[in-house]
Amino acid sequence: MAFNQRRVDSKLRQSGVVILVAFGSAMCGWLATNCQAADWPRFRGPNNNGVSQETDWNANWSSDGPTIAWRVEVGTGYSSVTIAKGRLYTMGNESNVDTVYCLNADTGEQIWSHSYSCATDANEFEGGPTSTPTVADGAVFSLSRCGDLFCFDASSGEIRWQVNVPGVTSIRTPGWGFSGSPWVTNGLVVVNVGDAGVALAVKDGSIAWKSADKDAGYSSFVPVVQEEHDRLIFGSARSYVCIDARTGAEQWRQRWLTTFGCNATNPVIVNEQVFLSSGYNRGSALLNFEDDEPVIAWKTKAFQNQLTSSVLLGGFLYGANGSVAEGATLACIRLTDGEVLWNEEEERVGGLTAAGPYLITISDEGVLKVIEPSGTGPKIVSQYRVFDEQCWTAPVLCDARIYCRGSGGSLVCVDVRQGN
Amino acid sequence: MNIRRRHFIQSAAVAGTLAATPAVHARKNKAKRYRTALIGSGWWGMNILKEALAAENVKVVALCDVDRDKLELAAEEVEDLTGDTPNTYGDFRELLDKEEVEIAIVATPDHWHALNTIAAIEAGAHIFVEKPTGHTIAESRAMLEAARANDRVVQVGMHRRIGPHYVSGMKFLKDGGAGDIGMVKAFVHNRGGAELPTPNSPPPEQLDWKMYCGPAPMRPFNRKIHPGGFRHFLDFANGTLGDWGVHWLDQILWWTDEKYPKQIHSVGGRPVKGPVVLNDRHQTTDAPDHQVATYQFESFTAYWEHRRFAGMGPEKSSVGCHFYGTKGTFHMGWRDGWTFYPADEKKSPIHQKAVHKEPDGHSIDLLWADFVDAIETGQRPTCDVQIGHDATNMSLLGMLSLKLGRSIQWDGAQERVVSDDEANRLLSRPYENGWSYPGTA
Repeated sequence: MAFNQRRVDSKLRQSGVVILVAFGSAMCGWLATNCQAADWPRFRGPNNNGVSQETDWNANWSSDGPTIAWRVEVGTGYSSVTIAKGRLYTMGNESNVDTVYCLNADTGEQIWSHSYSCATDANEFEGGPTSTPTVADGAVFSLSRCGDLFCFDASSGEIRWQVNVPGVTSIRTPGWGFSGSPWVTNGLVVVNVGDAGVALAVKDGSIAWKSADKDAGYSSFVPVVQEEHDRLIFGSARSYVCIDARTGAEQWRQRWLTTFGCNATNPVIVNEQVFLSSGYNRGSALLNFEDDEPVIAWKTKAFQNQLTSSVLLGGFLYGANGSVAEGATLACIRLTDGEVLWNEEEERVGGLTAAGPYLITISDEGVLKVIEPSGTGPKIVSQYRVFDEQCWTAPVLCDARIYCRGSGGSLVCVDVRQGN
Repeated sequence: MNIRRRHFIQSAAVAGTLAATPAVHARKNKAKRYRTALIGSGWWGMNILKEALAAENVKVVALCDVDRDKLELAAEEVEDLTGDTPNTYGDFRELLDKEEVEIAIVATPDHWHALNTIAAIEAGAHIFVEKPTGHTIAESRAMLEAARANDRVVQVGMHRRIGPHYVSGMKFLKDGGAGDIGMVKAFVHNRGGAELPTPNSPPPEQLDWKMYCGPAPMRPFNRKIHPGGFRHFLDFANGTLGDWGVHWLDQILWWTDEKYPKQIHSVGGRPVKGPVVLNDRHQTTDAPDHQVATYQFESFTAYWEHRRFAGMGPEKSSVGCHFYGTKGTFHMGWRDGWTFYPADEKKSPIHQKAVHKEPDGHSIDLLWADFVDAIETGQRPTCDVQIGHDATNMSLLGMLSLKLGRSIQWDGAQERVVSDDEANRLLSRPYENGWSYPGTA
């Protein structure tokens, strides 16, 4: 997955749409000399794969653990964090009220917030939002479980517009509410609502196109090609689907049934192949393409990512295998043939990300670890318990800090700067 | 599924246990593969079918479900496991009409068990049916009578009569390990809170909603019901008492020599979940969020208690039965095995670990072997339909008292409530959508 940020940006500049397209990642790469490190402006990061390009951070912690820079409470939920221009965005729920937070990423101090009512209930695990805000075009876009899409001014927190997407489109809400993070491209914000998404105009929230009134899936969007942000692959309730974000036109669809209509993980795209994985007795598959139609190269039930998407390092996918409620465990599957090379029973994983040769995992009970994986097994480099609560949210490494979020509402910034 | 080491070890342990059970007999007739159909091919139905496939004594000829996604998933899994391509049906009557079925597994929601089971028996099949046997008592009685009239084996999925620690625990009790027992508590407790109404929606395109409702009243579709939520809607099931209650109240019937309680009283409600909502726009569940049911037997008192809030609390377990005897308290648990706490606190507790098939913590493999053994030997299976009927009645009598708001005297020999016409009317219910209530009730 060597998507070179500079190469991407140079292509974007040639195409003349640099400002409109993925402002967060493009700008930061473009102005690389002015940024300490790349921002993490949307779920799974600038390259949409859960892999950070950062190398200047300390993976080897002392026995006392790393420095905890700050801790705050952001309410119940599974929302991850996004970071742009030194600001961190996330969401949480307290007593059926959601809050979108903008915090100073260095200090945890609140810059602005917005609250609105959003019912949660017991069939939604601990409850609370599962979607992560997206930063683009100087705006922050957030989607609630109930389908309330907000466009905030990123600096002031002022609401530019808000739309209840299922309400205005008459599209049903799936079993666990809306979960995918918004995707911004070409003046449109696309959300995983309905059978194959809904797009709204960034400028005023008007509906640009919508898909059929069927259950949405729970994944976020991944572009087919990093340099182009219009062809998107994502999970619908009963399939993974590829659309042209400009029109909503469907490019292809891979039927992908699970016991509960729950396709929650992001596809992993590599070399014109697409890796899919779902829990609920589904498993994983690798798709090849013949005449632009997907063909299953292999499939297996031995590797099931229920909520947390896997990361690809050197031809191996690493992920949380199994049911999160039962305790998903760290496992490794070979991309080429779907062989599960190992499944580490003792290594329970709630969420994970990757940076350099390392995985950064957090257990479902809040133990943060740096792990050096290989085709033969995991080697634990460092570990530290950051909190004592359920955690099914991937940690985020940004500017040599690791941000961890528990479902009970703990948000912790771990300082892993060199020399710290 | 998962290749977790822990699971592998547990599977190996169960395989070891198998060698000492009737599974040996089931393998006698190696060539025999029973033509098997699964009616209700969701999560639990597939759990049963996969154990049957692992026993290598079935050929899956057909699958049935009112949800075409469930059908497609199940068919794909059967094909992956066996190479066979089963035929798929949305209507069990068509399946039974077109297929030659020797064994039918019934794992539909409770309100369908009687019609599915009786039709399959009448088509000549032996039955493995999930508990409870019926949604009302007379349905369950009709299943029992159909099994006897047609001389078919009916095994009810009460694997807690055959799992190793349940068997050893019951021996401990019957051998007098807990002394003279005067009181038994059966219980299950969960976490939970208030329930907000969920919007109704059009049924998913792959679901035959009218067939899902079947003999139950039609109501607007709601995602809380399907998939997987029917247990807490009383048109389709009987709440926690009708689910967990069947397993744990059965432990009491297994232990005692008495056949049924003589007086039942139950209270409960929804103070935490909140009022029941059922209108054009929204629904909530309607099962009680907590319930207590007392069962007066001749020689002891039993009671059921469930809570869907507050969690385990100060107790050591959230599920099981406590048998209170002169020598101490015996806890028959689930994944926590069984434990005997001597009344003499100077003595150490005695503990036996559980052995199950994971991830779902059952012993369906042993129950399946016992079922096939019963077919081949002509003997009654361990969880014969009579046993399932008696255990189901315990739950349904508790629900009956709750609905009536008064205690009831039960004449178990006649299966009638003494001097209470209103209660006796509730032993059955009107069927809807053109379906006919089974049996003679």
